[in-house]
Amino acid sequence: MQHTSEHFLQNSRIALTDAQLKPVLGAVSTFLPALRQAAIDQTPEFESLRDYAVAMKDHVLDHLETYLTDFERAVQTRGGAVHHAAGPDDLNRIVLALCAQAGARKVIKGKSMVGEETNLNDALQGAGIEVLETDLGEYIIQQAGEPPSHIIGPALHKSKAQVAELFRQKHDLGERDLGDVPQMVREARHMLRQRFLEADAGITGANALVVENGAIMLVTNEGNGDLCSTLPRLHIVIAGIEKLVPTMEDASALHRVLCRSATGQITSAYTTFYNGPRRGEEPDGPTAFHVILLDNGRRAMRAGKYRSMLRCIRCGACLNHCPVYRHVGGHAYGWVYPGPMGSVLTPLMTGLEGAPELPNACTSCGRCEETCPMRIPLPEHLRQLRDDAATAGITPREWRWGIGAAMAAFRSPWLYRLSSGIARSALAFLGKHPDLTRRVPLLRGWVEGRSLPAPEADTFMSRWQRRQQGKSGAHRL
Amino acid sequence: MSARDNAFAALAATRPRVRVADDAVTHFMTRLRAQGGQCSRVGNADAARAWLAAMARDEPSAVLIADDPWIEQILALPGPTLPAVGVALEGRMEGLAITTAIAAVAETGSVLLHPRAGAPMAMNFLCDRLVVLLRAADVLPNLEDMWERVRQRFGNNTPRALSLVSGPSSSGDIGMQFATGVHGPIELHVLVVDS
Amino acid sequence: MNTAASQRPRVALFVSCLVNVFRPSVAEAAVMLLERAGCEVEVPLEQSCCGQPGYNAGAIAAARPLAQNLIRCFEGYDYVVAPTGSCAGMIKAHYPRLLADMPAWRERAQALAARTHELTHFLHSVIAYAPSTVTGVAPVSYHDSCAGLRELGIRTQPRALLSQAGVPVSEMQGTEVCCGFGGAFCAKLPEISTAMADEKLAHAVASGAGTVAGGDLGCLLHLAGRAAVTGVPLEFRHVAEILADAVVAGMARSHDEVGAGVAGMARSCAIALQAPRPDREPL
Repeated sequence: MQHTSEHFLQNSRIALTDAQLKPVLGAVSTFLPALRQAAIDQTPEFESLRDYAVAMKDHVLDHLETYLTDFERAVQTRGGAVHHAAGPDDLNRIVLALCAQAGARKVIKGKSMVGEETNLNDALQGAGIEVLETDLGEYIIQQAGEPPSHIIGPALHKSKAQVAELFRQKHDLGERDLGDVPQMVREARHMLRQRFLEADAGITGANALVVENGAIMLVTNEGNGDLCSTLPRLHIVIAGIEKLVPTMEDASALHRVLCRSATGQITSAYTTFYNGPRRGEEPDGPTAFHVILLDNGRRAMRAGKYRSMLRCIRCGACLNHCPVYRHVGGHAYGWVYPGPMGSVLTPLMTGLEGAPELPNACTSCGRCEETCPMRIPLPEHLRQLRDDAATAGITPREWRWGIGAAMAAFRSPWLYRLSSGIARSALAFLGKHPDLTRRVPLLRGWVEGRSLPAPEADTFMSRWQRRQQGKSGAHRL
Repeated sequence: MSARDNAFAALAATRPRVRVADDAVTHFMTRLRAQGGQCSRVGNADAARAWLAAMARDEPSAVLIADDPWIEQILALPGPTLPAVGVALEGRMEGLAITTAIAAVAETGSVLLHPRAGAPMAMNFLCDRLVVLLRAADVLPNLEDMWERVRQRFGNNTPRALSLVSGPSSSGDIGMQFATGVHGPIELHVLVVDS
Repeated sequence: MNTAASQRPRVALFVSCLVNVFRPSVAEAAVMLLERAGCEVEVPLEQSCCGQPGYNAGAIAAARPLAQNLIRCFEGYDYVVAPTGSCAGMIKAHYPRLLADMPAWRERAQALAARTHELTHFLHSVIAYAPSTVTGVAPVSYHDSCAGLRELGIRTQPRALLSQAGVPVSEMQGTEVCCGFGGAFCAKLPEISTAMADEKLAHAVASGAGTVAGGDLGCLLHLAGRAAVTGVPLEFRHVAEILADAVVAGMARSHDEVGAGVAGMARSCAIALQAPRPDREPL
């Protein structure tokens, strides 16, 4: 997908004035957190489930390279193959080669964020291969020609009416009633069924990669990922290297926190473990099974201060609880991953220069960290990215100099008191001349839509200091 | 054992379970129903036979039956013939599909399905209504118990696919409204048979 | 020095930048409440900013000397109390992390963190202050700052104090959702910030209360600034001011002798003149 993260300010302004979007985002930000809370209320063990998932992922990250080797061997033992892609172009090239090898012209896809990272659909279509997104939300945005706005519900920015209108335009089915969701779902089922049966290759992501037996775990509610993994003769799995877990039990440990955090479910309708091509007497299943492991900056993250970001299981809880996401929605973030996790991953994967505003899209309210099942310190990472941006000279000069000057001045207590007094006077003056405030670099943002508070007659410290100095003859209580 | 394996062993020993309060079958049925699945319980094979016949009677299109010794045993009992038995298990596979589960998990309200000769995986996902027969004794409390059963039964030679099915195919992708039959089965019916 | 005075806990007031510049009356109220609660209060003049503005806005290294200054400044007191969740949170939750690579300083930071408290938490949970009571006061709705709530667990304490003071609290919807201040965020992304404020203000109005009370001045100034422009009929007061008003009202009722210098009730709160302090013990 296109990368427009450097236009976050512009994108978010557009989103804020989108009257259709406001109630939809309000619903997402109210409904999904409530579902998660209800699931957690039903699970007294939730904190210990979280603790284990964190410890297990950290252990895997500690031993990532040897686990990757073992995973590859396990897949090969079961008749599959593993490929390594350093970056997006490598992954796309490998997929095209595998499709060419299998003579695949029609591909069906399960939802994959990795595929969005690499612009896989564009690469496939560029090679003349027909690609159909089968996840209902992905299918909707594919029809609409839009990027996903939420990692779990990619079409959540669309109202029911908008989806009905889209189906009317895109499906040549004449007059019919599309007034309710079951009707739209029935129509999507009908439109996609034949295409499922005709596909040559299925491409899915993976929610976990199991080292002990080279299996992948696929968590869906629709079962579309299962159809993509079973019907075509070629199954290609694309996943980030951080998706490894040691055993099936560990995959289940992740499954427990993933479903509760993403949709407030105890489990999804389908959680399937796929393990190589069809075996022995099995009557169906692909004859070729390939797993492509993508790096795209993950090893670099692992080596540095952002390592804990690799614990992310793509549940979307941080998005659902983020007040900024609530107001601007997913498209404003400009790339694959929105919300708090996107504000960390986008600069790390595609460069801070191309996404300078994303780390600023945060009030440090802490709700993301509070709800992250993998206890990722998202506010801390965003703070570090802001620091990185200042060090790299990406932060606008007025902010770097303004903050730098203030921090230097505050090192001296008397200079602190002096500058506080000056600030108080200046603010009192500006309060009487609001139009001038627009010219003051760091303050002009404040007066956009707010009035400047009027200070009191002096600062507290100067008042206190005077009182202490005038102590002789003071009354006793 | 390597340092990594030692570290992992120590870690794995701390893996928590999710408590299943009541007896496994009751918990399983409650969970499955909460997730949009339908569930019945019968005492014996004869009752199962009658239940299957009733299910199949109202089916407007095909009835697909997995090739399974337990199903065969049940259908061999006296009772009305099931309509359209023996439709080829390939192609569109729409209609009512009947299969068996080797285990179920109470914690998540899931049945465990896998492909084998005469029981294609695709049938479980292409049909309109999926019926799963399950022995009460095969309902296990937790996911860990299920994995232990899988290891005992298959060793290193696990099937290509092991699927925990916990409800009908569903989605909330359109306006967050729950709808079923999004590509996969519109209904899931599990019949728990006591003996 | 009389024995009673030396048994009183020695509390350093950490004023904080916003209170110092915008609402000294909040600090005056805090001093009054702390003294009423039996503490000996000092305001060390060596204090400066806690470093949070730089820490959060791309100048982490520049925050270290400020942290070291505050640690030095506040050593030797039994407690450090701040009328702000945000700055108290900076000390308690972030100073040990900020100084993690300097072991001696990290320990001193941890020691300071252990003795530092947000005002309402200190009054309610540490010193068990019994507020003066008022009657016939209109309900307020309490706004929880994110730092106070999530870094310090401040939620029940201010509500308990208000309730004990006889001030009815009318809860608003969505108290766990950020108001949109967020420090530099409010100036960097003003459209999003004000959209968040609008939602918070709507919830406050819907609660039926005419006043929003809070423990963090940043939030209150941001909400008040927005309400002034959009014409939302709410007042905004720091919880310390409300509790101090109750004290003054009580004094007025009982004709308590408070000495010269007690200001009128009005919008700010009054503060009593204090007895001269004994010299501070050398460190």
